[in-house]
This record gives sequence, C-alpha cells and structure tokens, in this order.
Amino acid sequence: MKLLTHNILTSKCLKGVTVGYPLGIVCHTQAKEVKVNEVEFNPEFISRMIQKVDWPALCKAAENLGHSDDLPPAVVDDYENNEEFLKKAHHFLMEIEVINGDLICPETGRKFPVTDGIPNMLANEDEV
Amino acid sequence: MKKVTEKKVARKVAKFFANVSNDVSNGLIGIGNSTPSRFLCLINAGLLNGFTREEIFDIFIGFGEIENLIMIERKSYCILSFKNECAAAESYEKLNGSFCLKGDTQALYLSYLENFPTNLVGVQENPKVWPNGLKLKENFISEEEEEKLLGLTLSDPQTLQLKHRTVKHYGFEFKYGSNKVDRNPLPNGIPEEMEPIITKLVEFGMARPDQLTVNHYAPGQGIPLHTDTHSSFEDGIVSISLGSDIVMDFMSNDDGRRVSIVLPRRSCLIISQESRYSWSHGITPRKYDVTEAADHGLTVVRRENRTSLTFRKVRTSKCDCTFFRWCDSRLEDSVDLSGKTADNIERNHVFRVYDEIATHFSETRHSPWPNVKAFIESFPAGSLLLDIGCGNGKYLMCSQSLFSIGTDRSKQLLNVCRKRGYQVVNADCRASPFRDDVADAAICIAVIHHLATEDRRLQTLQDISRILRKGGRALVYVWAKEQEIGKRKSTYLLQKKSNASRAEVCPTPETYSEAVLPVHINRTDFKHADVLVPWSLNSKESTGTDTPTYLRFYHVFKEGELDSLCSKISNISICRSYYDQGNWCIEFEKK
Repeated sequence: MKLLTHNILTSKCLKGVTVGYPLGIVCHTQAKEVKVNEVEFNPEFISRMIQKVDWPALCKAAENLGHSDDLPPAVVDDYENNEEFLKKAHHFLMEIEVINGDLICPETGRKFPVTDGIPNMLANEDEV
Repeated sequence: MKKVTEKKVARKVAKFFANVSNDVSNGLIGIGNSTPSRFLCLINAGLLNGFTREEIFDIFIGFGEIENLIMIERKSYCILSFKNECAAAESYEKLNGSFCLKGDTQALYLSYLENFPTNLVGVQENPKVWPNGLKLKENFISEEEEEKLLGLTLSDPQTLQLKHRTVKHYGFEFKYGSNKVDRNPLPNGIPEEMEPIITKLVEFGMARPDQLTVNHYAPGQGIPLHTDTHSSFEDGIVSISLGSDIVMDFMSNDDGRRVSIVLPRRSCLIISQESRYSWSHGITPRKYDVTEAADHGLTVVRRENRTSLTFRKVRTSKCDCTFFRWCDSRLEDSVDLSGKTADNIERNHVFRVYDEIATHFSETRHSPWPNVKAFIESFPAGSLLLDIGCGNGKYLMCSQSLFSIGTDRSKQLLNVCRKRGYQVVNADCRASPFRDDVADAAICIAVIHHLATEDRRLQTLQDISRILRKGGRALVYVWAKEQEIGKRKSTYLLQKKSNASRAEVCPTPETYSEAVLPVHINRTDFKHADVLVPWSLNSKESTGTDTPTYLRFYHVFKEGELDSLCSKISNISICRSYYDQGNWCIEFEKK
C-alpha cells in the first residue's frame, strides 16, 4: 500500500463512522514492514496528484512511519515548479509502501490489517 | 445351433457359472447342468444389472405358464420356474446364448437347476415405503356406482385423443402444451352425477374440487411420470379408478426413489403434501402388471380398459408449498430476498467461488474490452481511477499515466493483482473505503450483476457516485439477459469452448429459504434473471470427469434495467447507454 493509496482510504464503511479519516498506521517492526521501491519520477503526474492529496494526512502517515523529518509540513506555493518539493512528494506518495501492519479508524479504534501490501477494509456483518 | 456356437455358449455359461457358483448358500443346486428341468437360472440377468421382473417376465411369458420368478437383491442373476418342463425346455432351446438382452450386444445365458432353491438369501426387495401424503381408500365407490359412472363417461363423445390415451376435461381445461390449467372456465362444469363422489371427498376434509379430468386407458397405454404443476392446482389430487386395477409408479423428484402401488378398481387415491409436490406419478405403458400376491409370491395381472377420474381444485393464488425446488410459482418470481439470504448467496456463489477459481479465472481474463480501455484512456495523465471489483486487475495498468486503485471481495484475486504490483484493497463494492468526491474516473465492470438484490446493486452505484468528484465519470458493465440483439448473437453464445458442454451437467436448482436459483446452461439464452452459472475448472492437470464445477450467482439485466437503476441516483447524469457484446453498459457523470 503506497501512501498515496492510504491518502484516499477511509473507514467510512463502518456503521456510525462519519469521516473515518485519516487512518492511523501502525507497523511493529519497521524494517520488514515498510518497503521503499524506486518509481520513475514524473513531475507532471505528481503535480496533478498533489491537488488531490490531503497533505496533513500524508504528514501524519509519514509521522506514523517515523519518516516525517524530511517532509515539508505544508504544500509550498508554486509547487509545480519546485522540483525538490515534487521529488519529496513523489518519494512519500509513490515509493514508500506499507507491507504489513494495521490501519486504525480514528473514530472507533477498529484495526484494519494490511497483509502483503493489501489492506483488508472488509467490515464484519455487525459493523455495517 | 452350430457346433462352434455351442462351444462358445458353453464357455460363456462356464464363465458366468463361476460367479454364480459362489452363491451355494442360495441353494443353486445343479447349476451348470444341461439336464432339463422346470427350473431355470438366468445367469446374467438380475436386479444388479438392471433387469426388472416385468422385463424378465416379458421374455419368458410366451413359452408357458410361469410358476415363480425370484429376483434377488444385489445379484445379477434370477431364478424362474415354469409350471411344466416343456415350456422350460423350449425357452432354454430358443433363448440360451442367442437372445439379445435389451439394447445390449450381450446374449442371455441360462442354466437348468435341479430344483427351486428354498433357502434364498436376500430375496426380500426393499419394503415399500409410501411417499408422505399418499392415501388409498379401497372400495370408495360401489359396483353399481362404478357401472353408472362408466356409462356416463364413456358415452361422452367429445374426448381428446392423446397419443397414448383419451382425455376429457370438465370445469377447466388443462393445457398439455404449456403444462398449465386454462383459467377460463369451460362451458361444461363437473357433471351432476359426480356429486355423491364430491360430497364424500368433502367429508374427508378436502376442498371442493372444481376441475375433473377423465382419462381412458386401453391395455398397453399409460401416462408418463409427472408432477401436477404446482401453480395450477391446490394440494390434494384425487384419482378414482374404474374398470380395472392398475399399478401406478411413484418417483421421488429429489432422490429418484421409486415405489409402485396397486390401485384397485373402485378405489380412491389421494395424492397430497410431499407425494403431490415433490414426487412424480405415472403409469408404465404395458399390457400386464406384475404384482405381489398375499403370500409374497409373484402374480401377473392383465390390464383391462381403465377409466380414471381425476378431481382437482384450480389454484387461484401462487403456490405456497415448501417444496421450492419443484415449485414453478417460486421459479417465476423475480427473486425478492432478505439481506441475510442475499449474504448467503453472495458468500457461497460469488466470494467463495472467486477465491476457488481465482487462478483459472485470471488465466482466462487477459485482454481488456476495447470500449472500457478507450474510456480509461480518455482521462488526462495524473487522474485517479478507482476500479470497483477489479478482479485480476486487467484494467489497472491500461494507462500508465493514471493512478489506479482496485478493490475486490476476493482475496485470491487481489493476490494476483499484488503480484503484478498493482494497488489494491480488499473491500465490499457497496461501501468502498474511499473519501468522498475524490475519483476522476471509476469503473465497475461485470460486478453488480453478482449482487443478489436490487437494493444492493443500487447501493453500489450510489457509492460510486459518492466517490466521484464533480465532473468525474464512471463506466458500469453488467451481463445482459438478452444475449442476442437483432439476430446478432453475443460472443458468449458463439464461443463453443471444448469444455462448454462439461459445465452443463448439473441442472439441479439450489434452494434458499426464500428462493430457488435455477442453474443456467452455458452458451444458451438466459431463461431467468437470477441464475447460477457454472464455471468449470479446466486446468490441464485435472483429468476427466472429476473437473470441479462451481456455480456463480448472476442477476442478468434486462434491457433498460440498468438505466432505470441509474435514474434513481439524483446527483449523476447519464452520458451514454449502450449494448456491448452481451452486456448492458452505462457511462455517467457526477453533477
């Protein structure tokens, strides 16, 4: 699960959850459970994606993973022409992948396991 | 008989004799003899290899009076005795080694026995267990009444000559073509003369019948096994026999159990409950009936002309029986299910099946449909595409310049996607775990036809409209009930895969507490909207007949149905609606 995917996910599918965003991330042994894959950098693609990204949620995710130091706390002005910023955004959104861990619903604390990079967002019968 | 043939027969007899001789306990004294006697062992014709008493009787009746015929359970031989030796000798001479058994290339082989075995083991056939709800009332009418009724029914000239019997309807007509009763009353009601019978039936607690069918059967005529159409008649079907005894056969529709029951003349048979709803009844066309006498010996009854009076009550509302599997009222209903039943159907016939067939399914789903691919490619680079029900992810990499996330219920299909490096989430299509107003594009290809109720299909479309941003567009494909439009057959109908026929072996419907799901026959038109479609695992490793077949639930969409579903969603507008290779398709935009 890339952090861009995480940035889109919510736990709204649970009964009684109104926003369910952003989901917390818990990884127990970082070395094994978070991977960094090199992905080709495409400034135009990243610029467009930044318009959709909820930046504070991305910062929180990075913080959950202990990577927050080098991520700017807010989207900079004129980011389309700021290659350094776009590259950082690219790294966080496209290259960091959570392989195993849990996503945590901010409203109920319900855990959604991530296994082999696939988040399981299925609710039980009594949760819908 | 030529010498060579004689030798051949002798060899065959010896071979079968080896089998039979192990049954010394059955007292087969003299087996292998060719010294004539009244007693014959039919070495290779018995219950085990599918011969009935009637068939054996048929073969031998022409040679003389049969004294006894013993069929033995789980044995491929039987024993027959004639009243006199001449008849036995004549049949031996004519049949041994030269009479061809039914549809078989095999000849019948005989041996004389020294006497009739007295200590046969396992002679008892299964005791007759009558189907539940079947009642026989002997001497229901007197001989005078019988005579009067026969005079009445036989004098009526307006009878219908069917292939194997003559028939006359009163009150309402039963249409044999559609297997349904015609609900327009006939000008002639049930004759007044039947009133004493009807009064007696009502005294038994039966509803007053309003339909009478009179059948005339000559010896040798019969009626095929059938279950009276549930939707046409109420419970409680009455058959009164006039003129001759008859043996009526009953067969369980569920497990094929068979019971034959003698209906004496002047008796009244009431077929109700299980025997009416989930058993078939019929009369084998033949000229005699083999029946058991009081001493359990064999008797043969020659048939005479028989007239049957069938009294029924026409049903005015849908059948309310609990034998859903055989109930046409349930089959015709558009299935209206509770959430719990829908959950069960989807779990058993969608999620589990896809997990089981994931690899094989994925191997057969590689090329994207051109119109779906074109839709995806119409979005600019950097757009977000959500694929709801992504399967093996064949649309997730259609365009490298988009960011695509797929969801599916099947973990196994998602594993396939993951190995290909796609972004996927295990989720229910009715509630995708995505933010509101986020997607530029959404596709939902061949997904919502797997949902068991209209509510659930609508929920999915509503949820797709929720995740789209304003101006975002979605494409939805569903399987069409119409597989032939303007005489043009869909590729689905045209594909004649080598394994297609193999998937068609299990036409038994599945029954849920509220619904019957018929099994669709692949590569044919859809007869029902809610069906189970077989998927045959045809992997190269699996051999022969044990290829597992899985049943997937489908609700196939009628023309206009997808449009009317979309019209219930207020915040979208339909961009285009079309038919594509057996699918109904809609592209809509969020307002």
